[in-house]
Amino acid sequence: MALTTPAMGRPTLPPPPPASAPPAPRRAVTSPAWRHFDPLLLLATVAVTLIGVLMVYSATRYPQELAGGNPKYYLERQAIWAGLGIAAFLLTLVFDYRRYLLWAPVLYGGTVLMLAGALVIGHRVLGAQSWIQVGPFQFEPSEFAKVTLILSLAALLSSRKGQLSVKSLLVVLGLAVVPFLLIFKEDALGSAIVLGIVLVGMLLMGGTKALHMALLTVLAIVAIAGVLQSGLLKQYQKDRLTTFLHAPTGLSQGTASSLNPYAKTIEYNLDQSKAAIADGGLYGKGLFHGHLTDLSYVPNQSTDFIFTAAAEQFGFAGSALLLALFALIVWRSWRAAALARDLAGTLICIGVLCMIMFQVFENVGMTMGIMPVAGITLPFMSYGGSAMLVDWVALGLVQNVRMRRFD
Amino acid sequence: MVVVVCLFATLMGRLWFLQVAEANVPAIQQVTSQGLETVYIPAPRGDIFSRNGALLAGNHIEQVVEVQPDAVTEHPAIVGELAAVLDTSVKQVKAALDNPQYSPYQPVPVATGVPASVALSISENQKLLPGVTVTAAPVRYYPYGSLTANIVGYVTQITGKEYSAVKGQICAKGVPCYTTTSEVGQAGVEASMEQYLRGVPGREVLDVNAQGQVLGVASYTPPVAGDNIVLSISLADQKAAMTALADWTKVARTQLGVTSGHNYRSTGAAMVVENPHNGQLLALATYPDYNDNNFVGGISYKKWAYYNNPTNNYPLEDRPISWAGATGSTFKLITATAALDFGVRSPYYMYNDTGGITVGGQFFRDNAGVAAGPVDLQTALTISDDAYFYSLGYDLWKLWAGGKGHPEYLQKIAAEYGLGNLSGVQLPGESYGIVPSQQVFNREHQQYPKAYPHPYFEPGQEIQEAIGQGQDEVTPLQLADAYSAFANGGTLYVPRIALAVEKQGTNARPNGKIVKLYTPQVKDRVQMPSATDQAIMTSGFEGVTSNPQGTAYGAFTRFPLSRIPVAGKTGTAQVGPNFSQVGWPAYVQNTSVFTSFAPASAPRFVVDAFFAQSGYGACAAAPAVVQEYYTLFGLAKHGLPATVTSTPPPGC
Repeated sequence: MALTTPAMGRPTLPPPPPASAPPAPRRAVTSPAWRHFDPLLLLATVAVTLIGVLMVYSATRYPQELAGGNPKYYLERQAIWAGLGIAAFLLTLVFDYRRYLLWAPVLYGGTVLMLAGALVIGHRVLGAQSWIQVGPFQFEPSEFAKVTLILSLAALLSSRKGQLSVKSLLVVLGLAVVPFLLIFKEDALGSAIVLGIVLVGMLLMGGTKALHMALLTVLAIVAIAGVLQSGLLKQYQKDRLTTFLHAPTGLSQGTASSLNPYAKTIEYNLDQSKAAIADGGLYGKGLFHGHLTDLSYVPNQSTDFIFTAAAEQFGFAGSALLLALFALIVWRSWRAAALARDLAGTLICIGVLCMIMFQVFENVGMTMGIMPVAGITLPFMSYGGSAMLVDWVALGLVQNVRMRRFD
Repeated sequence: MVVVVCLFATLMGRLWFLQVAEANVPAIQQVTSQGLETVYIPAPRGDIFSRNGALLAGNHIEQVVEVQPDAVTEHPAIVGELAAVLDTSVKQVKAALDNPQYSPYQPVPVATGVPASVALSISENQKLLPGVTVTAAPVRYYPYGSLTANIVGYVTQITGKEYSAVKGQICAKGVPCYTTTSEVGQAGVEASMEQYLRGVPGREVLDVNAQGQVLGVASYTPPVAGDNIVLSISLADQKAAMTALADWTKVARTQLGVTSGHNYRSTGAAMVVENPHNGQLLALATYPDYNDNNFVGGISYKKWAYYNNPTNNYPLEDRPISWAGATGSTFKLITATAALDFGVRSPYYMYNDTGGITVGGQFFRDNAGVAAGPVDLQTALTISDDAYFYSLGYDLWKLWAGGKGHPEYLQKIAAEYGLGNLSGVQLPGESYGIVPSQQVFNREHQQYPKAYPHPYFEPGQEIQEAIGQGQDEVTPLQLADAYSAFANGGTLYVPRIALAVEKQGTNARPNGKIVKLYTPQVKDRVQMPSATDQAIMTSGFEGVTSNPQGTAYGAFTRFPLSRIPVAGKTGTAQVGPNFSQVGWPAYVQNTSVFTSFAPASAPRFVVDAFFAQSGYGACAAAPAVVQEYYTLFGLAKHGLPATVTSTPPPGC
């Protein structure tokens, strides 16, 4: 994330409110907060979420039916998650974001506790021990860590007023490293990487000096090289991360039967993913006519590889439109960051922007074989409750900042 | 913001590359088409009918027990249950299921021709046997079995080698003619008319998910049944010919071969009945025969061993077309035609037979050493005078060797009569035969310098050839073609086994639309002598049956020659020990040959017969031909008398 590009420009920060100004009369002269709500941002996100629900259904209805289950099982669950996500979004809007910043230390502490808890009592899913069972639901603390970290960093960085000394920088890094290491320990590598990206983006926006940033970059490179060499990463993680670098394999064929050892490999998953995307062509096969989607040829299609379902059924035209919707979300988040009334608001928006942007690029790039397979979900679309809730809450924070820009 | 734009541009670019730019790369197309499994449904094979509409090869419906392959993976207990129901071993059921020739998405046949009770118990116990179905499948059968086996042939499931040779053949758009489980004609008309009989397989495209489960049918094209073939064969004539061969083989085996001192072994026989005016074959008989029904569903090892054991005289041979042997004196037709054509000798010239001729110090002796005295052409044909034809052979050789640019007249006429070449009959396994000539000798010398130390075409070779001995090799069909050409005034036809190819009709009657009609096809024109000279030759041939001096007079004493004059020629071919087959004893016996056309004045039929290891032409072949004429002319409405079927002619 080369956010240091000078051409990027810097969002105009609103002048800090005079400390002495009494809040009450100010409120009286401004219009209600909802007048500054961004409908475009909400519409784009709702559209993406609905497409996601439909795609989850298209990718799961046949396997469900064949297994003797309810073909609408995943459709219903995902729709419920989407509804809960939107409810969480609305809930997030109720309180001024600055109140959340006050609660940041508590949120941060709670998150670290949950992450540690997941390590102790968590479930192991797809290699990652990052799930906590609560009643009938499993949830993933590492997903929630994203949004609490954004809030915590925003609170901390904004308190330094854009002037980051070495000491403050170290405090910020220390704050970020704890959940990062816990998540890393849980093998939820993808979430850890997202945290790292969010950190970088927010540091840049939070006024880190260029020299410090350069030093950090060098450090990060050394650390990554060290991790790859040291054996801290498990082999499957390394395989996932490096598969996309290999020359194209002979595209895989044959069914994913137990007789085909190739079917369990990450190359197979990638080949099938690319095949499904290629099958879409210019205009796609049409909704519920995705050949490879219907026949469940892409492993993990309803979760990490949900983009392939859209790409096969809607083709280049449809998936380009989908990417445009994501771009719209990113752009409106950028606008919110630019319009925010204070540095904390800007930092929140930038953090969310980085999170969504990186996840979209990494996830879609992964399905097309230009990014490593890192277990990162596609925001608002991949099947799963925790991610859906967190994505909507993050979006709620952005709207919150925008809505209250004159408060 | 620039970064964001760059990232989205990267994704868009890659998306375009994958979905539009590279979408037509074959490897991509192959992988995107996975999940579509194509299964081909065999087409019902066309029927084969005789010229009178008798069914010679058809399909009947049999109950076939089939198993869905994924059912066995899910419920392994099926195998045991199935073995119990079918009353076979578990091992056999497993072997049938593991047949790699079937697609994993196709039901695998486990048992064919199961009785109705078993079919019923399977359908009643569906709970115990999930995925097991009983379906009706067409199975080939041959109603007349061994009577027509050498003509109709048989089918077998395609072998791996055959399949790799034909797998590229396309019968319809995207439909290969053959799959690994196709049945393919292996002999007779089943093989030679394969392209019409096989039909076009149906095509079913199935949606198969990543777990190998069939989700549905994406497309279905029904199979198109093969076309029917109407043969020129008359079932009654064929039956009579097969019977005559069997009857006279039996008689020959009771007779003592004079030169060998043993009873005739009569190891094989062939008979051809041809219409001289269009080349249509009415009967094509062989002895011994085989039953083509034995090949349906795979021949048993025991049967296969029996058919290939030399002591059983190779029943799978189709002798009328594949057996090329010395013809004996029946060849004199060619010698006489050549002599008259090229003015070598007048038919009225009286040649003085002194018991043989001497050429180059070698004495060529008459048969039995009898000196016939002065003979003209007609008499020479009637009594089959060897010296007359020896001297003609020598004269023809001298003309060629005389250095005045004369071609090999005898060989030229032999070729025009169709000898030494494929007749073109639509049956597999036909032999070329040999007409010895300088060219043949050169070729043989070059190919096998040890066996043929010098390439010279000696006069003795031509002298032998003139009476159908030596290296002369002719098939029974070629001989029938030659006599047909003489009988019709010089037109050599391609012998026809099939009359027409027709689309399937209703109720399996051969009344469908005609696809192809086999009209008479002229292969060559024989340079014939004048009509008068032809009449002299015909008289000579007539004398063979009607003149007390004729060589086959004895065989025709019981035939109504006054109403149906028969022109014939006997042949008694001495076969050298070199031509003996594996498993034969040291002695060899003559081939009994007889060829004829009748009525002599207006020929309707040409009939010839060859009996291996059976002595004089007059003793086995001639009476067998007489027996065939009884049927051809409707003389035996109430069965043939024993005198016709089993009493050797006088003098035998």
